[in-house]
Amino acid sequence: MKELLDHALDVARSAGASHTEARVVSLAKESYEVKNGAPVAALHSTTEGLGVRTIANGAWGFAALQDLTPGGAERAARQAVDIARASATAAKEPVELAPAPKVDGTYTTPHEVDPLAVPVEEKIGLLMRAERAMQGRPKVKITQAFLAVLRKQTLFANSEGSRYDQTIYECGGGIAATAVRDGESQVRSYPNSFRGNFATAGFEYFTTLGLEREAPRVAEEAEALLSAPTCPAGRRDIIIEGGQLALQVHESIGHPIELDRVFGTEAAYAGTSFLTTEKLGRFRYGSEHVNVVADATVPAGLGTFKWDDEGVPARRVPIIEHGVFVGYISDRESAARLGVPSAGAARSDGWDNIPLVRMTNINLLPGRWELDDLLADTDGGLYLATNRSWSIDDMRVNFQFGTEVACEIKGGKLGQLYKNPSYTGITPEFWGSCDAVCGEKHWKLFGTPNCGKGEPGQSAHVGHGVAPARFRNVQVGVVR
Amino acid sequence: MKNREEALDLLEKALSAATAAGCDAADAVLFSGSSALTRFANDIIHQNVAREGETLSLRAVRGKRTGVVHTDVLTDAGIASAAKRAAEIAASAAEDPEFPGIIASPTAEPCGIFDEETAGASPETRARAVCEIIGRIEAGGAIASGSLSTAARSIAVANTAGTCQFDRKTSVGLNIVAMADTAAGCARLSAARLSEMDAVERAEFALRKCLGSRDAGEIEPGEYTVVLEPAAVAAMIQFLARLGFGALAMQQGQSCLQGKIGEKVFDERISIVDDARDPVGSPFAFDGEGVPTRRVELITDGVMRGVLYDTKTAAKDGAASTGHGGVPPNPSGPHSSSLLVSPGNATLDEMIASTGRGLLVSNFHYTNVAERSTATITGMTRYGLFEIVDGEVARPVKNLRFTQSILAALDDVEAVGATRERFGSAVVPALKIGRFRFTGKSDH
Repeated sequence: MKELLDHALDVARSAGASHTEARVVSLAKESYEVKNGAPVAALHSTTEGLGVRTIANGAWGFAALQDLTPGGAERAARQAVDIARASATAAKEPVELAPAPKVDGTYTTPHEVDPLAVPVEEKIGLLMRAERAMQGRPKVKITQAFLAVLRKQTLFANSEGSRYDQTIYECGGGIAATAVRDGESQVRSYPNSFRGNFATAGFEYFTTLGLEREAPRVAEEAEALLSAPTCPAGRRDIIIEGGQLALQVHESIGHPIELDRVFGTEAAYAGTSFLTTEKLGRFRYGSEHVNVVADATVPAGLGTFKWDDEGVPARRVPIIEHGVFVGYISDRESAARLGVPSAGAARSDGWDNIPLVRMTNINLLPGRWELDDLLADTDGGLYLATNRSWSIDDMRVNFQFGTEVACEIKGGKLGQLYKNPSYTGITPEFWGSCDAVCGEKHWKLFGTPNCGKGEPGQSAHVGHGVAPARFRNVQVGVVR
Repeated sequence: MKNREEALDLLEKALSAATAAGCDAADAVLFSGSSALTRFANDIIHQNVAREGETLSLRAVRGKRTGVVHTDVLTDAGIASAAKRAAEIAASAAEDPEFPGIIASPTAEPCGIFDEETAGASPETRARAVCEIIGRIEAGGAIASGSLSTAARSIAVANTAGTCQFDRKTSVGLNIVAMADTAAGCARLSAARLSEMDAVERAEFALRKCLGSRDAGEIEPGEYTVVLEPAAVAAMIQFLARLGFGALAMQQGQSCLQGKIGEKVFDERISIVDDARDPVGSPFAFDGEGVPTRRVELITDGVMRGVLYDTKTAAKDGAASTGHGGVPPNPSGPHSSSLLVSPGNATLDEMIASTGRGLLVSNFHYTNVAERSTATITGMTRYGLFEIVDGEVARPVKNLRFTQSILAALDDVEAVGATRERFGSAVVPALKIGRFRFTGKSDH
């Protein structure tokens, strides 16, 4: 494959490209779903292809195909240059890239058990046991268990002499119980909604999730929600647990800090960002308790790797320090425009997509609170857990989230259960209302394997490290 | 892209390989095609991509056990390896008592629209159209963003029960956003042929919306009469289909229209069919299981008439699949393929003129389900929100968040637009709705 990449680079240079990146990506995935006692999905998929991205006449072009022969490499390289020339007919300034160190190496996600080598029977057997442990409650009509594993190998070379061979392993899964009565349905999930939690890891990660252990509680809570009162609307102090807080970080910090959005290159699709460049270093994003990094180096994060898809080494980039906004995530092009080094966040969805600025692991750093102490200090507040729905505006300011469950906090304990909770807010006001973050002991990584962006649409696998945190005087429920 | 003969030959190889691997039965789907997308922002082309490829989906069946492999290694060895793997998965999987088996379907007459000019569109063709769009919007004092895509795709399905299907289509997608400060206007087009695209007309539409949205004023959330332009209606109808029309949701007791067949659920001016063969949408002859797509009356004069089936949900209800299945394994069940909402008799101007005080909504943004059983969705308005006062568009206002039950909205229809627009697989008119609930506001 090294020769194939070199051939693509040579052809592109001969055809007039001033910069070229070539990637061969081989992806193997397995996904399983067991539902109501039977496996309803057992899917293995493999895909492999070559993507060539070039700059010619100062503009970008990209072509991708599955023909991994010298002829295929030549065709992709020539097509990418032709497309770049077409792009140049609607260009103003030539594309500039921030400098990147020359890299050369091999990396594989640290793992104990190759998740693709575990027998199918064992995987389905684990899911069947976890799913079965949710059964037996008359109102729980749907019980599901999920497992997904992935191996993605990227062979990368660019015209600046960088090259690498990187293999990422991912693994994860979860369970969900749905209770149904009179047209109403209530879901409880574990360890997170929408098919569970995911990490860059081997199969050992899945076996530590404890799905079978948690299954009876999950089913019980789903059934209990049917009889629970609707969460009352009003302004409340809330503590948000990890899974929901991860999505809060994702939507109201992770996306607004994408420098390509800030520069308007996603304007016609996902939107822009309120976080314009004059705010860098001076904008108060949140309270002093809010410290956030973009860290592609943290072990097991779903956004963890060694090099990004432009060959830039993984970094830990400060984003918010004591509430003050201090950094973006960027690729080489957007970083050059700002005059800073790339944040190493250029990531693509497979061989047939270009790298975009994507989240790595956007982590809210732990504070010092014990969760029990925080509950005891939040009498009359609400504890909100597990995302159910999300929506945020095109500049990432006005958001509304729904969670699977809310519990009233009384006397330091979780009390009355409420169904259909939601909360809404304005991004900087909301993070400004954060006055406590739990400590290291409660800090946990959540993986989001379905972050959408770009045209054609791409799905990124990103991570968020969080600990439960408290927010004061938040609008819970819908204003009437 | 593979033609019919090539595609079906390849599927025959895959089915033979599955049988040789010890399967009782199998079905296979081949996707083949190419696509290209030219993306622009800040008045330049900033991303410009093309890709081509083929993917085989092979489902192996052993009794009530199934295993599915997706692969793009389509050599003889690659196909044999996929078949062996699928058979191994099926052998290892537990039984699914509800698996209906592989069924034979009659060959469907192809109805996809395939246009050679669109299939062969060059990067220069797309760039010329984009330059025209940028030129118009720049000249109007705004900034242009968007994308223009062209694609040609074929799908073939075959199974060991004798099903043999092939169809192909081309598609064009145009999305234009004109922006001036925080004001923005949008125009879109979904079509089968490039010749259907009037890029300049679309650019001018987006520009007019943008310029009309400048200096947006404050408005408080609350309940308003709304005139929803087709883009907003399309988003709402697509959520309704997801939450209400699939047989799996019905069988699980989760449909927002549970037990409503034969009942009046919406205003009598609302009629919705799913008809994947109607050329007004994006016609295609069969579904992911090779079952010919059927026209299904979902809502007729406000009364619920039907649901969408795949083979599994149909078998459970003793019905026939309506041709709305996905490519196996598809645990999410049947889905809509072409939602057509009947037009009414009102023009957009008449809807506005008949409104004392209300809002004209151009688009929704980032809509999501807030509560399933009432089909309550939440999202933001985008690309132009205008206050209507005494029958006239009085002023642009800043975007609002809505949280609204679709069921309640469609039962409170005051007028239906006479013309329809296509957004992806939905073809819809504008709607005027008596009360629509806005629950938050933004600063732009």
